[in-house]
Amino acid sequence: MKKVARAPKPRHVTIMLIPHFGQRTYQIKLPLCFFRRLFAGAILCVALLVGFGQAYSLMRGNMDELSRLRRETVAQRSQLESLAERAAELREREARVAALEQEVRALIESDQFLPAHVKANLLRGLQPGDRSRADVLPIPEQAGASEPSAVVALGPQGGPASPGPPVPDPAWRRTGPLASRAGARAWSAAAAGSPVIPAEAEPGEGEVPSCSGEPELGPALDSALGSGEVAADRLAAVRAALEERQDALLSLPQCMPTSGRLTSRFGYRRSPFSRAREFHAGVDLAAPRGTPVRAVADGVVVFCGRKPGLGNTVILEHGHGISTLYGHNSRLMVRAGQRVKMGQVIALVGDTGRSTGDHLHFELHFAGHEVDPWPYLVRLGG
Amino acid sequence: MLGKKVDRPNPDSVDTVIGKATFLQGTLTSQGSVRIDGRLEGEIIADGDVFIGQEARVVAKVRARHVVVAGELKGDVEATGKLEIASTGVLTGNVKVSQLVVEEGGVLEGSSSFRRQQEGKEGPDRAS
Repeated sequence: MKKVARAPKPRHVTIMLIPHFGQRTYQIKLPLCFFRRLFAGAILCVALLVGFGQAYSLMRGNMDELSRLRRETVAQRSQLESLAERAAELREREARVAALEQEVRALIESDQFLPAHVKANLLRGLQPGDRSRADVLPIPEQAGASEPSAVVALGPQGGPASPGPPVPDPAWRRTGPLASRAGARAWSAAAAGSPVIPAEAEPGEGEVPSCSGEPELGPALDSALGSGEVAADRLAAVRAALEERQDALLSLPQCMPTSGRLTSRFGYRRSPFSRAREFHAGVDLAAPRGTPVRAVADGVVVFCGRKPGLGNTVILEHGHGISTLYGHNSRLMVRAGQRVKMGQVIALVGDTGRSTGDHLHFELHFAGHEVDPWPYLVRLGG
Repeated sequence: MLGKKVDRPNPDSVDTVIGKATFLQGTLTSQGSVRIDGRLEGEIIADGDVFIGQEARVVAKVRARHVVVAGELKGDVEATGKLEIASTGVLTGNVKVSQLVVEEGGVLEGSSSFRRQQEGKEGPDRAS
């Protein structure tokens, strides 16, 4: 290749192609500005190339970002799936809580022994945050207030006012504890995640994926789960209280202390000895000497021996601040510290102490205060 | 790359062209290669190659490495390398070469002799 500049037209350039064989040569005459343009074009091309290169590298970066985003998307999708799972779990738990609330509600509603205001409090959304156990379990604390109303709170609607409340008590005796036990079982089963979940929970499963698009699903779910946990805790507290209360109810007299005729009620009376007004802290049940005296509920013998005025006496403690006293016995069949079952014979009817004949003096104490045992005995059909 | 070859004479590059419209009389001596498309009378001595173009009319004694004749050459040729006569080439004269190629239609009028120093494989000695 040869470049030849021609003198007469300096503005032009000849390019000659010289074959190294016989073929003819080729000449191209080009104006000089062509090379300028060529140069400019080359620069332009280079610029374009550089631009393309940059665009390409940018695109590569974008591609990298794209693949990263893809990976992220996959990760987020799995996250969303886990969130959906959590949502499903939440719904399940909600359903469980709802079922539990229903059960507790039913328990409370069917409970004959809860005072109306306590019942209303419990039923009002079942939110026992500000509620102390005293509301749920009025027996020990309110009894400690030494007011007869404590008995009213515990006792049937009839209470001491109407001596014969026949309907609710046997009903409770038949259905109450059983229902509560069944409820407790259902509760624990549900808490353990066994398939006691009611059918209403099922439709929720289908809706779960639809909520997977929500960006703040996780925190919302977490808080909801947390609140569900709180609700469950709350309900568990209610359940525990109810159970304890039922346990306490079982500490009340479950059977007649002896078979006998009521000869003296609780309260002020004329003393059979001095004819003076005196307070009678229990009830007297007349029975022939040697009639068995039975423990009215499970308990522990805390006193067994002679007491001035009461003669041979047994005192049982049943828990929950409830204790019973049996006086004037002819014989004592237990020892202090001994554990006795409901119905177990602990003594025989007698006439020891300040007594006017064979009878049992029976006292019922709530937290150390005597209360009228008769409403609790009369419902036993004695 | 165009400027570089000025430094040292390169026998492979054509640095002289006698164009179609040029007539040269005398001795042309070059350390590089030469191409002739016009007319020349005299003598050509080149370290490199000599190309005689199709339309060239040369009456000269040629001494070079390789010689390619596509035009008309009258005169003796002495080549250390190869002599090629293209189909349009007409060479009238005696040649002394290492290799000889005459294409179909090429004409070589004269005697030919071969140098044997390089491995000269002789072509057919044509005389028409």
